[in-house]
Amino acid sequence: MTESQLADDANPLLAGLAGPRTPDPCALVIFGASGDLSRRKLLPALYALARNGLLPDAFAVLGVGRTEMTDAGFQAHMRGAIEQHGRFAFDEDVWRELAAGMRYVAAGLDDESAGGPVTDALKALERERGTAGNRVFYLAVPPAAMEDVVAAIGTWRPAGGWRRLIVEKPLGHDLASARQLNAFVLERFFESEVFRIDHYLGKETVQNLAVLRFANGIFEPVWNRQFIDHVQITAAESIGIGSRGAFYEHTGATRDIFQNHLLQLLALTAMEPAADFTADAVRNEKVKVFKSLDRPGLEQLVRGQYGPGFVEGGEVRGYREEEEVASESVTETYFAAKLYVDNWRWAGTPFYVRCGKRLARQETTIAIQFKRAPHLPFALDSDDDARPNVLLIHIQPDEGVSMTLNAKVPGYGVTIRGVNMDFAYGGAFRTDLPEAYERLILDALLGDAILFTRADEVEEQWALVDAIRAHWQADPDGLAGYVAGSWGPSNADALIHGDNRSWRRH
Amino acid sequence: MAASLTELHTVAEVRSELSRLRDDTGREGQPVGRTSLLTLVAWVPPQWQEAAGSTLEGLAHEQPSRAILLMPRAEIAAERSHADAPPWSAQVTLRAIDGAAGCVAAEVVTIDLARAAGAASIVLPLVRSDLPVFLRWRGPLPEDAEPFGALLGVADRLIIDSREWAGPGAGYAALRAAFGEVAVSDISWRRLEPWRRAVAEQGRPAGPSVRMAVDGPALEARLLAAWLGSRLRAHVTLEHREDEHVTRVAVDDEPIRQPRRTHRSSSALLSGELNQLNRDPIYEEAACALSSVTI
Ligand SMILES: NC(=O)c1ccc[n+]([C@@H]2O[C@H](COP(=O)([O-])OP(=O)(O)OC[C@H]3O[C@@H](n4cnc5c(N)ncnc54)[C@H](OP(=O)(O)O)[C@@H]3O)[C@@H](O)[C@H]2O)c1
Repeated sequence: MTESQLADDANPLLAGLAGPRTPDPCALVIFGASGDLSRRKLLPALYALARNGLLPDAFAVLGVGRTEMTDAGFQAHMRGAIEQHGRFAFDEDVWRELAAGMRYVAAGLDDESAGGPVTDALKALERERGTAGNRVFYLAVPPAAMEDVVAAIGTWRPAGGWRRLIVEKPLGHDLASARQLNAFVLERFFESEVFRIDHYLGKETVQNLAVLRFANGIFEPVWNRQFIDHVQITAAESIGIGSRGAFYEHTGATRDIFQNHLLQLLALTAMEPAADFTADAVRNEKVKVFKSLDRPGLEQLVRGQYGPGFVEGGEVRGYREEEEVASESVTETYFAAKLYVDNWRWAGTPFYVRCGKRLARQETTIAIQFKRAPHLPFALDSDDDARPNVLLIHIQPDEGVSMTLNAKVPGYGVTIRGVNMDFAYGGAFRTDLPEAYERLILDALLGDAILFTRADEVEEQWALVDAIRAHWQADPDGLAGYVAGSWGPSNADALIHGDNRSWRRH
Repeated sequence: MAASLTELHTVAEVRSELSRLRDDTGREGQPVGRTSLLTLVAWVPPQWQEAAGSTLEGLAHEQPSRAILLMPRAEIAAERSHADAPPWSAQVTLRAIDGAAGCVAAEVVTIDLARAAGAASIVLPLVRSDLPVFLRWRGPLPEDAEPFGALLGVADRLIIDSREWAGPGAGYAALRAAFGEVAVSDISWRRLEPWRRAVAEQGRPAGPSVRMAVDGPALEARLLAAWLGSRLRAHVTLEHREDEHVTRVAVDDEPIRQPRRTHRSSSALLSGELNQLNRDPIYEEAACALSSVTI
């Protein structure tokens, strides 16, 4: 029986009124509400959802932080954040409705009694707003505070309502700590209640990757080792580490970007079609990719650190001169690897991945490079004139997809040039793509976990990173320098040139 | 914005003017992007021209597309009645819209028609290949077949706004005939959606006949009542008070909770319809049941 038939039988008036789903009444409790993430991302995202009518009528936000603030002070602070970071013009009516359900409690939650004021405020707010005991807890606190907060809220079981927990990265710093964190959380919450954020998965183009692959009949038949020469995944930033030196010193590019974002992009590129587009089916397929990833040898890995240079015309200092960075630091700000997915579809097809700071430009892309045409029946000066086709998926900026094709240059002879076919997201659809956090918060409120990572995915990702880092321990001198504003260290070029291939330059 | 300077009289002229403007317009010498979703054909009698202009203006930012505006003009017909006068003339404008993702083009071909017959033969070679064609028909549907029937033959979806109709008379006969041929959207039906949801959420009324009270535009009130009747297979008696928008609804004297304020511009409403590709059987049933509502 279809959904509409069910609606027809129960209440025929509901037929055809599916529309966007709105979440059940609920209260969102943000731990770390006085922090940067709340200000820059969470509140602007909530405001956008409110403006688009996607929040339930009965909705409340309880901010928790250690900083003392009144409700009015918190509201004023958040209003400023929305005005500064929101993507829509500020509308008083939308704000008034959202702010009416917004409260703040100052609490540290480092011992169990500290939770009392939070639960008291939450219960009062729930009664006032009619949120039916449904609670979403958002952990926007530093990793060191995570367990304290989870321990406290793990015991708050609302009578009747459901509860969900949204967890931010970093989800551990190696396999052992990730396992420990998962175990700690899963002693108190069911896996189905936990929503681990990798904000890349909230991006429109990343979701479009599945649509591109599985809703177009022309790609899937050639999406394999027979037709694809190799895949390049790049997450390049031109910015440095800013004021996050202390954090970055203990993290590095491998843990910060490769472990989560790059590996997720790789999994979405390489995975088999799921039987259906449900959270567990998709996540099962991603886990299979992680399990098939060959453990790379040291010769398949490159790590680097930026020195001084020029970025976008401005002179910038090297990593070791950044604030709160050790003068002898060996933290990698660049990471590249050649990886293989050992399965029937991909055996022998390299996936070159790279990420880093202070690179030539900001771009996140997945480039699928197809094999060359097997034979060219034209008299050309060089076979290089006919370049391989590349399907390029732009994740950010300039979200879209482009395909390079070979075309004849108009004229009397046969000259071949590569031309680009571009599908720019903003060009085809509305120019304002929703922010990743809007989609992710909405999905968590709806209880849809498809865009969130599961405990076993996170652990598989860390297992690979641990294997990589173990090589480095045995190779302490392997950190290469690179000039800020370049495309990374020269041995990254050597990694791919050795296979008669080269990195995409732009 | 770039516009053609001369009047164009053949499809070939229109096409070459479009490509010339596209080459000229663009950001930093780059030609504008050509990603395209649809062709919108709008039938715009003189009294709707101002409204159509402002809707189109807003639409450019939401749905980059090719719009073909057909403007039947009584005075042109008189001027050009002599045999060798061209039956139509066109102007092309191309607006480059700068967005985060680069520059895209919204193309508008405005066609002054000296006579209505044959309009579809101008439209057909100008629609974008392999993309859906939406026909926005301004004002009441005509009783005579031309050019409505032929334009409907080009379209995948007909979009009307029954708020533009004087009454439920003949237009609905043409509309019911269209149901068999193409998918149909009524913008008034979309405006009613929050109210339909609110009525549905109140639960289904009991009994074989229902009383409904609506303050709002006459046809919208009727459509709401017809929807209720067709869904419930019940007879509906409507009590109606004229208002600019639907402001109050009651079912069997039970007031319906006012839905959240949803003011959507005419461009946003039209843009919403341009995202719909399937038939809407619930609407079709409601439109067919209009005459069974007792007022
Ligand atoms: N900022 C981003 O763009 C971003 C992006 C991705 C992930 N994240 C992750 O999100 C989390 C928060 O990041 P952030 O940038 O917002 O950090 P932040 O600006 O330092 O804010 C941390 C928040 O947590 C609160 N807090 C700190 N220790 C606490 C404790 N022991 N008990 C209760 N509350 C405590 C702070 O309260 P007081 O300041 O009032 O003491 C503050 O509200 C981190 O895990 C981070 O890795 C952030």
